[in-house]
Amino acid sequence: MMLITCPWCGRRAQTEFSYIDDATARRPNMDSVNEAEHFKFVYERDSRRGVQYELWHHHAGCGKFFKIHRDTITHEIHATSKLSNGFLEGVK
Amino acid sequence: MPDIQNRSAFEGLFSYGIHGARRGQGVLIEAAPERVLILAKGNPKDTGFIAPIQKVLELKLPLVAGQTNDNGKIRVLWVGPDRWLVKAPCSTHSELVFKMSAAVPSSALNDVTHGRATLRLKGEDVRNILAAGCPLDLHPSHFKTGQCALTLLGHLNIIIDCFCNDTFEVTVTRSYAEELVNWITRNAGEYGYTIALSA
Ligand SMILES: [Zn+2]
Repeated sequence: MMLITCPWCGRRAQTEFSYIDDATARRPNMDSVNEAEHFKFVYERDSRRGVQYELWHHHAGCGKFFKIHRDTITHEIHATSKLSNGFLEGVK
Repeated sequence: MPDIQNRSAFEGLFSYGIHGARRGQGVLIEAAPERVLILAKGNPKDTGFIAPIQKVLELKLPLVAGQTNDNGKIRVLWVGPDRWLVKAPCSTHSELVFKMSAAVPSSALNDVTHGRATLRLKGEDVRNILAAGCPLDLHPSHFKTGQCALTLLGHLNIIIDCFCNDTFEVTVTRSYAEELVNWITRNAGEYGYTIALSA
């Protein structure tokens, strides 16, 4: 079982968490977005092999959403962080 | 006017007596004493929230994850970085709800007294029984007296509250009371358990 360090609760079992989304996905400007871009934002995600930034939810614990920097090959978690901490800054 | 009766969430779910293996002390299972449960949500950095609510409760809100504070009457559990669960005697019910809402009128207070069901488990094997379905490290060196957590027990979402080394309260949403009793008794059988009428 994977152990995930919730930024609030500490190290807890993966069963207490849900994967939510790619943490780098950004909502387009809804005033100017065309249908294809909107569709891409809502439905299309890369299936990366390697390190990626993810949003997770500690649903069976504190109920907070947070970010994980994780390797999808090794399952190694490099970092977790509160949404308010900007470890995604500069990430495309 | 219909006759409304106050019924325990565990009514009809217990078979009282001694069950399972006869190994050591076994565990004692009972409905926890009826108490007022209030979920309070607020910003821990906002003194306009923290100060008045602590004054009403006569208790500090725990700011460290998984900690409880207890003044002998009221017990407050950390259930999130901006959420606390208040456990208080039933005799204080309407007065406490009134005082809390008056103290922090713009905060979210949810009276969940009748929406939860709580079992009290006592005995040296309680940690072993819960460990069969709870992913927390329940070793006494890690999960100590005065600690609490929102976590899982099998597929149930629970709030686990360690009153003292061998005494725990496990809270579920009320409609899961039956599954909680089933899960606990199914897993306590190998240690032996007694279901007692609560005091
Ligand atoms: Zn958490």
